[in-house]
Amino acid sequence: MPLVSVSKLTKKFRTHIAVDDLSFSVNEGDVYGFLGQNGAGKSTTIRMLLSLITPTDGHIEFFGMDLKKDRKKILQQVGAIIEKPDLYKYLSGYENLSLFARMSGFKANKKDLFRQLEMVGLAGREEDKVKTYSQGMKQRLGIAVALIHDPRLIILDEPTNGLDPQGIADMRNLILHLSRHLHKTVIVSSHLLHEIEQISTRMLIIDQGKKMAEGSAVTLMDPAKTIVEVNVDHPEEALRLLESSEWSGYLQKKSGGVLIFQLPQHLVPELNRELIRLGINVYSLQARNSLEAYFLSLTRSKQNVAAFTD
Amino acid sequence: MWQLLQIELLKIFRKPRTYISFGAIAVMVIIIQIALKFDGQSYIEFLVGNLKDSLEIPYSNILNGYFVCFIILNLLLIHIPLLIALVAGDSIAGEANMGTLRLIACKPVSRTGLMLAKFMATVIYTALLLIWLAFISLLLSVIVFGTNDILIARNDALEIIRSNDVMWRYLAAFAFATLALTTVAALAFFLSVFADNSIGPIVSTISIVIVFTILSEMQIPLYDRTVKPFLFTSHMLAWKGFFYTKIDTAGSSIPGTIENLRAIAKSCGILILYIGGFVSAAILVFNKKDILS
Repeated sequence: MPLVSVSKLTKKFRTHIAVDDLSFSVNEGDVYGFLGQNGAGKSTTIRMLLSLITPTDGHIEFFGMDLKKDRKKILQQVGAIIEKPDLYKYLSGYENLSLFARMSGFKANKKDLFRQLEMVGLAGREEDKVKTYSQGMKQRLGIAVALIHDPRLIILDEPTNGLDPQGIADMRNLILHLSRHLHKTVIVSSHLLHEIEQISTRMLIIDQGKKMAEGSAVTLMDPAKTIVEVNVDHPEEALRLLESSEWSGYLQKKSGGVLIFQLPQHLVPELNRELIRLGINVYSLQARNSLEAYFLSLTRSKQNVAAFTD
Repeated sequence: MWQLLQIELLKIFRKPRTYISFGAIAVMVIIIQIALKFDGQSYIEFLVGNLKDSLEIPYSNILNGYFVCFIILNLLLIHIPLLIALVAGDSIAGEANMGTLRLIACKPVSRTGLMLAKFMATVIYTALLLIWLAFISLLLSVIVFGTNDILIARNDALEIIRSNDVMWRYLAAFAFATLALTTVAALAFFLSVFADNSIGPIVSTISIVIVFTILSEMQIPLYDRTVKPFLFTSHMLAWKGFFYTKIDTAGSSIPGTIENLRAIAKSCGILILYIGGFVSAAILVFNKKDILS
């Protein structure tokens, strides 16, 4: 039985359909990536999972229980960070953690709470007011809040928003730690394709509120759509030479000195040979059979791909 | 529920903004006390009007702590709703603005329980504000000005209440004022549900109180019958009724009596209805609200 089961979930805001007939399931132990552009419906879906938004239609089950009927029981086993962790700035880190622990029905003593704060790297700053914390420290306190009641399922909505590269890497490591060592199930949403690709065991791609694909990163990568970036000496000349050949159909665009092709993986060596045969000097050739390539083929706007690979 | 209430009280009383109201009341009361201490006679002359020509007014006796407290309540109870709105209007909208609303709403507590805890915390804040007002306006005035009989000016008549008949009236008046101000708190609380920024509900509450107060004070016969009896502001000043006594045949006030207890009870009932209505509506709206902040 899946840990989370969502069927035919729909949310309409007046005339706008934010989430459209979305169904998916999350198994115990999954790091379930939730991938989509900004405005694709990720946050709305996550907020419906956390009962912050009432679905227009559809059904959500956690741990075999109906979210509508057993909301309280379910949320006792769920920890969440929704976008940036906004906390009570006029309270200390310890007071914030204590407050949310009590709200989660967890009776923790001061020692437990200090240990939790130490675990997320806030030792020595427990009694300082949150307004004096950096963004990264607030994020770590948010994680402590999400984990204090030892939930089975952790839901993270855009957890890397506003973090610096080190913070992003720390978050990635934390998610992997939660999954591999603490055996938690994690649902993580992001518009950063690369992040999801690195950490998720299974993923859901949504676009305009609709499910585009669901599965593991490996199964979602399509070998027929390998992206090949070729760095050549005279790209204009190369373009002219390739124009009348069968390879022009695979050519996506020229970016500076790089020609970008999308073609089946088995044709990559042949492309290389053809370029040399035409007298084009190839400085480098890089084939990427990645999720990005797959994502390109699914989402509505290829120009927007940059937004996913920032 | 007790746990949630404790949390809400912690949030209110750790917020610096909360103490603005306590500070503001202290400043206003002390300013009035200083003015009356140094020039109380002028104020009493203004109060008794033409009667000062026909009667010998014992100014030093009249200007006592009970009387000063009565004047302070008359002057301040109209303005304190503004201070109540500061906290009550912030209760939901402030959390939405800070981004903490989504965090608390996805905790395993019912939204109704959360709202009730928030409202109860607001009521406790209101009561504490009134206790503070009572402390500095009554106790401090009694210490500074002493005690004596209290002179109440009503229309063109003067009424004297004996000093030993005053304290219970003040207790009743402060209790009633708490109920009246809780009505304002309930209004601000209700408006707070609709906003993602506390400025909106605070300003809206103040605007509604001002408009309703103007309507309550208007002397237009049509409104007297059709509108005024239903406005909560018309009933908020009913605390004064505790100082209006029954008069005996000799024209003296009868100790331990209230002239129109029925009118006070009616005002209480109407204010309770308003509070119930505002809070129920707030809970109903919040339970259906999509939290997008």
